[in-house]
Amino acid sequence: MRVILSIFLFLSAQSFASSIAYIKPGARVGDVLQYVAVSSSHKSAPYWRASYMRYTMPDEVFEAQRDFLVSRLGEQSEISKRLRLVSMNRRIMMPLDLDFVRLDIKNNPLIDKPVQLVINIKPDDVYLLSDASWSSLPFEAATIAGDIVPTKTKTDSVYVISPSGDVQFHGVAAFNSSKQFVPRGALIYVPSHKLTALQNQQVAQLMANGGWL
Amino acid sequence: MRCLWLPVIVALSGCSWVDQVSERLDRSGVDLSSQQIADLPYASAYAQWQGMPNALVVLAYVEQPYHQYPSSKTYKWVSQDKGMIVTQAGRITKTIGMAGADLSSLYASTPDPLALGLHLASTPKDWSYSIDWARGRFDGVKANSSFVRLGEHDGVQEWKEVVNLSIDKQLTNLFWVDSATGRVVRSQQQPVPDLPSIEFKVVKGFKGK
Repeated sequence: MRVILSIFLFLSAQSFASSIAYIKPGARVGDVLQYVAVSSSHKSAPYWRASYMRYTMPDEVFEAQRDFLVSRLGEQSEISKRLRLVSMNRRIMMPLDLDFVRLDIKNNPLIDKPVQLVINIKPDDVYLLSDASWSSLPFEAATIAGDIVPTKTKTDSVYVISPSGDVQFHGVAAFNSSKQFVPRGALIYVPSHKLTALQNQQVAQLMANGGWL
Repeated sequence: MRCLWLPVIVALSGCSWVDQVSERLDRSGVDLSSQQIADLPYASAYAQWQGMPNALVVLAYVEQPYHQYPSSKTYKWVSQDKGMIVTQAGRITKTIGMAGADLSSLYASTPDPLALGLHLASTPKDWSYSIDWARGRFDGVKANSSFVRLGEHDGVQEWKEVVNLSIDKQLTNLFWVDSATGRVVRSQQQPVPDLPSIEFKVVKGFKGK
C-alpha cells in the first residue's frame, strides 16, 4: 500500500494528454495500473495501448543517436525539433492493459527499479512528421497511410508508428500502397532525404521509444 | 499482496485470484448438473465457441465501466487457460486470449438498448457505437445496429441484432431476454467479423451489489 501511495501523478510539461507517474520499486505492475484505473473518470480513462513504462534516466545510446541524427538533419528540421522533444529514457516494451496484466502473474512483474508510468488518454488524432512539417489530423477508422500523406510528398513509403511502440513500413505510392490501416494516435514519419535508410529507421525507433502524444 | 482495498471492485480481486480460479476450471468441455452448479463457489457461465465444447468461465471482477457508455458495470469472466470475456448488460465488450482476434473495446455516446431493457416499448431498437479490435488495427470502426424481436417462449424474448460496420462487414448477435426484467439470460454473439460466434450463458449469477 505504501508503494501505491507513493505514486504522484502530474501533467507532463510535454503534453496535456500525458500524465507521468513516478513509481518506486516494490509494487507489481498490476497494482499500479489498478490504482490508475480506479483514480480515473471516464473522461480521463487511460488508453492502455498508448500507455507505457520507461526508465527514469536517459539512455546514453539513444542520446548519442539523436545528436548524430540532428547534426545530419540540421536544427531547423521539424524532425530534429521532435527528436529534441521526445524522451530518451528507454521504454519498457510490455503491454499495459490492466486485464491482460492481472490475468497471469507472468504478465505482472514486480517493479524492481524506479520507473515512470506514462499514461495517455484515447487520442483523437494521427500525426504526420516530415523534414518540413509536423501536423495532426483527425483519426478516422479504416484509413491507410496513402490517404493521409499528401500526394505532393516525394516518397513511396513511410513509417507508421503505433502508440504501442510498434513500427511498420507502409507503401503509399500507387504501385505499392499498403492495405494496412493506421491505428488511432499513430505517428506517420516521412523518411528524410538527408538521411540513409538506416538513419531514418533510427528516427522511427527513437520516436517509438519516446512517444509523441 | 494486498488486493482488496479498492471500493469499486465488488467481486474478489487480486494477483493470485485468477490463478486460483483457473486451477479449478476445466476447458475440456463442461456440462454441470443442477447440484454441481449450486455447489459452485463463484458466479459462473458457459462460453462456447462454435463447434467447440462448453467452457466454464468464472466471474473474477465486477468493476465500474471505463467509457461513458455502455455505462453498466463490467463483468469480467476468466477461463482456465487465462482468457477473459468482459460483459456489460449481457453484451460482450472485450475479450482476451482469442488467438489474436480480440475485441479490445466497445464504446458509445448513447446507452445500449440491452442496458435499457429490450423488453420495454420505450427502449430504442437502434444503436450506434464504435469498436476497436486488436487484430488488423481496426480502431474506431463505426457500428450501426438494429434489433428485431424474433419471438417469445416461456417468459423469454428472442432478439436478433444486425450490426452494419463502416468497413463493409456485418455482425449478427442473438439475445434471449427475460420478458419481465429485460436481463439477458443467454446470447450468441459475434465479437469479430468473419470469425465464429460465442454462445454465452450465465449458469450461476452474481449475487453482489
